[in-house]
Amino acid sequence: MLQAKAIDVLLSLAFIYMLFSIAVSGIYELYQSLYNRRGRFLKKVLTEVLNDPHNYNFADELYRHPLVDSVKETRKVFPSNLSSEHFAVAMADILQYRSRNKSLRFNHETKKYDVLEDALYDTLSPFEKLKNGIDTLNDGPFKRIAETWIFDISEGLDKNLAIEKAKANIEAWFNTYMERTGGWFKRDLRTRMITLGSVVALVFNVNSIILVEYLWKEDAQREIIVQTAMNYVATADSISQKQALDTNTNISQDSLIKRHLQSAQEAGKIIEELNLPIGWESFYDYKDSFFEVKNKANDSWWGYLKFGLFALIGWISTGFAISFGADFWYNALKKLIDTKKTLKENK
Amino acid sequence: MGIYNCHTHIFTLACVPNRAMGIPLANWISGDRVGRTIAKFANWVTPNSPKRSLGRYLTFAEIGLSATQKNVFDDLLSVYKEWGTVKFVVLPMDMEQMGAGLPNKIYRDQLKEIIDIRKNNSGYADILLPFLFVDPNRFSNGDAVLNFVRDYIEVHGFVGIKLYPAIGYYPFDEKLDKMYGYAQQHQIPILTHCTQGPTYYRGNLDNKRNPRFRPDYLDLKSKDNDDFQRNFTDPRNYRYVLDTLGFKDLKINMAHYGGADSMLGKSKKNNSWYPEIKKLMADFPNVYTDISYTLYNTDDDFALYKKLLADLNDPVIGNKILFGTDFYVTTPAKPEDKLRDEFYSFLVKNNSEPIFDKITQTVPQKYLSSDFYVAD
Repeated sequence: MLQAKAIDVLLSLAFIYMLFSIAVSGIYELYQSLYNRRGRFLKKVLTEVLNDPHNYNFADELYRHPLVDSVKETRKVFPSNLSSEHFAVAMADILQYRSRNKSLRFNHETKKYDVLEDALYDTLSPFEKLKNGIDTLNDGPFKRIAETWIFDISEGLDKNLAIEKAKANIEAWFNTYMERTGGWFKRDLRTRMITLGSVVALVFNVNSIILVEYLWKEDAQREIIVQTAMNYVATADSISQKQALDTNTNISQDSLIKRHLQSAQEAGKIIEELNLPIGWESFYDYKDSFFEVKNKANDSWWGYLKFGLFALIGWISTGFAISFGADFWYNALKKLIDTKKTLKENK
Repeated sequence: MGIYNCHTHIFTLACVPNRAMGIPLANWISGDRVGRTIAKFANWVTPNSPKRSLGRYLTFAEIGLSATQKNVFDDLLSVYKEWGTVKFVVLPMDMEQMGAGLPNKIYRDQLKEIIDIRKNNSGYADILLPFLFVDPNRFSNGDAVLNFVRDYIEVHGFVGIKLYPAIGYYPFDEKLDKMYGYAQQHQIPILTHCTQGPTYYRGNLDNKRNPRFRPDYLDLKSKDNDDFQRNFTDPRNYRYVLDTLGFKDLKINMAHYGGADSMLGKSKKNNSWYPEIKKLMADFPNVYTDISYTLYNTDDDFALYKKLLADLNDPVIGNKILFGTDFYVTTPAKPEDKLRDEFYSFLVKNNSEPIFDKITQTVPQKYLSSDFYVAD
């Protein structure tokens, strides 16, 4: 009996956290889009590896390259993703151009500057230009990376094949690097989600401690929540709520934001219908029922301090839980429902 | 015949280390949307106070935040579009050795960008006249400095050399000797910053207390970096370069004329700089000055302009004063067009319009021409 009750409490809690995670993700996606967070993060990680103090900031050159520049929405809004093919073509082009020795010479007759073209440049194959471009770099971290793009290409290889192979190497390097930085982005996202989750918890007074106590004590209400959660999961595959949980679909940024916002709205509606002990209207009712703070809170500063700490821990716990994301809580919810079913069958 | 603005900047804020101004406030205001919103709000609340309003700082930040130096240069061109052909001396900044951290865009990138602007945009090579910023602290010896300078002057078409001792070196640094010899031989113009400002060496002063010459006027015990920068910038240091080291014919512009406060005798410690620059101009054939930045000051019924006009009418030093504005560093104090127009109107009002032609054409032609560039 106690085991079933505990499972129900956990199940309800997972459902509530999932709903809040969906709502918070919606807000965060909007923030990310407004502040071009993904684009800025991409630029930051590329700058990290392409800005070589011994040479140049190749990230700047990359972002100025027509292939990348043309996908920028405005001058200061950076693209949120970059295909490995575009990256390879742009970087090869930048490095090829580096081998070009144009110079400026003042013409004393015309009293104007002449741009002296490098006569040799046009006689070279694209691969030779790329190789020369890399050779002209000073020893530094970027040169070492760039050298790995051509190190397995033998001198005797057909010139056209050689440049294709070099581009494939650049693409492979880019994909590996992006995979690694994806982890950085998730870590960064997690920190921000904890903050945002805690802020939402504070603004709407979503106190995890109160929620646990409520779910434990209010049997009838818990039953309703469990039922709603089970219905939600049962229909999740066929409705848009499932889409909100799937962050890997290949859809445009705008429609992803719209979808998140729609899911956030739906989640908000369900939260409202669940009639949970959240918000500020019932704040004092619940403070009276926990950790015996009721008597002291009413008559001493220590009581208020204790009560404040209790509220703070509750809000931060909620924020921390929300930061795990809707995907995590959805999977947890499914597992808990399975456990509940198994328990019932065993009985 | 085109007119010359002999002192402008187009480097973006990405070329400036975060602590170049001491605290990272400027970058914060300029680089962060929240910071910008706060600055805008503060400006809305106090539109006329402080004197250099936040709005103008914001304009400064907006220009500085431009994606490329070409954007900044195009901004500058737009201010002069009704003035016919205008040529601009563009001064890059290398602030990597000043103990304020590394900028996002390193100096080599800054130079490369300038070279690309000139090569890839038709006509820009003839109106964007870059000087090469030289910081001896970057180099191990005088030969390295010389090679660097020769490469950029002879191969990349840079027109002159920019010095900014306040960021941590003395003009009589041994490593600069060969460069001075080369500049003197080919009559390459040098421009040196000659006023006390907010950009100065932020690192440990102990390794700066033992210069090659130790004249009495240097306060080498000073512990405050802001105060210590006076040791680097003091115009009297150039007497050692011109006289003691024997580079008497060096073509050098002591920019900013010592600063507005020094000119008006209102400086706490640098009042001697303005008369010293005048003396240097009188004593040496190729010492010049420019009126960049100082032009913003129109206080006390144009007291500074009146002083300038008197100097411009002087038969000796009057032919050694160059027009420059210090775009866009001046923006917080006064917009570029206002700065230029106020001075021009002042000259017209005082029946001295030909002086404007002199400082924007005749004198710059003489100053900028070298074996590698002829100004016309």
